[in-house]
Amino acid sequence: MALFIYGTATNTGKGFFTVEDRRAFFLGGYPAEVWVVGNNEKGALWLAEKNGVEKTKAEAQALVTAEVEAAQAAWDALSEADRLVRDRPGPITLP
Amino acid sequence: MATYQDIRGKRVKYLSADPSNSAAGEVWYNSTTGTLRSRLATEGWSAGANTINLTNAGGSAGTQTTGLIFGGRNPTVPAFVSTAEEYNGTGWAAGGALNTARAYLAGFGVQTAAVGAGGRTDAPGTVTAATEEYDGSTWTTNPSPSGDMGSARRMMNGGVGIQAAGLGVGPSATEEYGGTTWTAGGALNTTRYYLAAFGTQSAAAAAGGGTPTYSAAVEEYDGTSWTTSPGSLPAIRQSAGAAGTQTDGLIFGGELSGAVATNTAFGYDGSTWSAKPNMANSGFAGAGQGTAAAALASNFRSTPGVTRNTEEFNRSANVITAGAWASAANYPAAGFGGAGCGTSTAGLGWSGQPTAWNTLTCKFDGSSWTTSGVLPAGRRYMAGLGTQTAALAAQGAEIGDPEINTAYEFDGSSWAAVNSASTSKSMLTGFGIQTAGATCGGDTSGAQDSTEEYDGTNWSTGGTMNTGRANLASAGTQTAGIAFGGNNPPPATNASETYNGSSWTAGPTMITGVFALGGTGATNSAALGMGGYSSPGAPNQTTGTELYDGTAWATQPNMATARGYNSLSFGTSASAVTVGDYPAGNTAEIFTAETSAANIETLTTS
Repeated sequence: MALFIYGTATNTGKGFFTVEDRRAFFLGGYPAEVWVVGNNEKGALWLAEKNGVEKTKAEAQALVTAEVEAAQAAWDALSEADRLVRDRPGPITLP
Repeated sequence: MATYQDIRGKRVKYLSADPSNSAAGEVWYNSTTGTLRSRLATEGWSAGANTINLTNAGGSAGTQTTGLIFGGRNPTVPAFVSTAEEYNGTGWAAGGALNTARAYLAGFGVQTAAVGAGGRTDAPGTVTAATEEYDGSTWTTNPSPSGDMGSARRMMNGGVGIQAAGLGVGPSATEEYGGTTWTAGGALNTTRYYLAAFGTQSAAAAAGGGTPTYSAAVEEYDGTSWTTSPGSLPAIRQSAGAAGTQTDGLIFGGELSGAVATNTAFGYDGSTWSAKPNMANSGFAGAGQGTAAAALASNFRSTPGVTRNTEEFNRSANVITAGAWASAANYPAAGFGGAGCGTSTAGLGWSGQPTAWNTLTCKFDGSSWTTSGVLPAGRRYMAGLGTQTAALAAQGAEIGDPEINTAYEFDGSSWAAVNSASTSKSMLTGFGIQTAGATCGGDTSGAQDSTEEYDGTNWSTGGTMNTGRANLASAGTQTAGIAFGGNNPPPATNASETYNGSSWTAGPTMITGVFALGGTGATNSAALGMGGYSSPGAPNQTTGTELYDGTAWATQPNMATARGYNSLSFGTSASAVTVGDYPAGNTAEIFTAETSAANIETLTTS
């Protein structure tokens, strides 16, 4: 069985995930509203309750990569002076 | 092997039930269940309300439930901003703006007495020495803070302490603030930008940072000089968030290398670091406030950009169950514009549109609806108040829109006509009980500001509202009521005002203005508003929920379904039911507010 479930869900703020959720299953947030959720009953239920849309790992990775690449393109368009004060966003690899 | 008595100096208690006032770590034997029980302290991160603005690298002050963030920058612009936001534990609200927009500034103090000092106003090198003090609503620039914040010291990104005894830390120097003046403090042993500072003016700690090489160095300040701690950070980082004291500190997030964010967190006991639960989201250059037992993290920047994420860290011997909406049994028919009263386990709904709702009256017992009684005349947009067995339905409109002033009382099984109110109007609201109720606002050729009081027999004129409006919601009692939201004219107002039985007083504004919303609450210091329209017409119904605690409005978990004209709502701010949606909704949702209970678990040997 896969370790994780991948999906997108909008973080609605307070109560979106609780300490009890964090104890019950792995949960990691990523750009593009991608969430990596522990593959157990409570994790799957959490994603469903948050009106999440389940993705394959490849689909989720593509969403994250697209957002990172957009940020990289924005960085590439910066002036030399602005580039000096921040680093170019690096890639993110989902677990 | 050491026994419990050897360790704690006490024997394990033999109790027939779990105690109601146990302390963290306490162990007892429950003779009823035959189990060894203990109250356990747990810790972890949970989601907080999203911030209003997209910023990072700002200053911060306060606590987890009275937090303040100010200034910062939005890297996607990039612009240095002056905005401030206040957190009350459940939601963010706009605070007063800084006089000098800037980022990478030092922040310290509490929400009503904070300091923002130094920082960058634009490109590297454009630093400011400006010191501003916040009083809970307005920032005032200290005209002559004296004690020169030399240019090398102006880009401070660590601040600890209170307004009267603060500390600006880094990159190499330390400056102490006494409420008026800055004086030079001890120099850090390792010059570092973007360090994380926590503690007080006389007992601070600084961790990580960039030299520019990412650092794991930790130093402690005693009010005079910095000493390198033997306890280095377990992993290098800069731009982490921080909270707590020198002997009970917490750092979280940070940048591990160029724009690579982490979600890891570590606790510091004054000499060594220990791993803490990870945040759900990775980020750096954010804001950190509070204590190591109740910290707040917000305005972090993830690898590609800034987020509005907020996370709360709690170490507690209690289990906090977040507030949430859940689906309830469907109402017997679909409609909108009804009225309701009572509690979530003994509620009553009636009237509305279309025809199937006009006279329909239903009781709710917490799980199911039961048809009970028939309203003598078809109505919509009525005022409803009272209880399931003693309700009042007043005014409203007949289908076709003629506003009326008739009223009816419900005795638990049937409706009976009573004296009419003096004003014919609809889209109004009602609060209180059958023998001491009030209706207010509404519409009849324009938004109304009048109030009428009912004593169980007769109607009398009440106070005039500050903001006349229709499609508003209300809560509370006749002598402690609150009205909120509505429209005059569209799109919507976020105004709220409280009623003391004779006059209305303007109160804090809701975060979002909506009209045709639902409203519940037992008092004027505990009200809940849900749904409503942000602007006229479908699909502008909303899922938003806001809670008023007597001081401010704060966001709550959203409903699953966007609703408008869901005035068939009843309950309290802790437990509420709402029904319907324009033009025809029969779904119902039930709200349960956040709760806290002792974290008691059974101890096992496996």
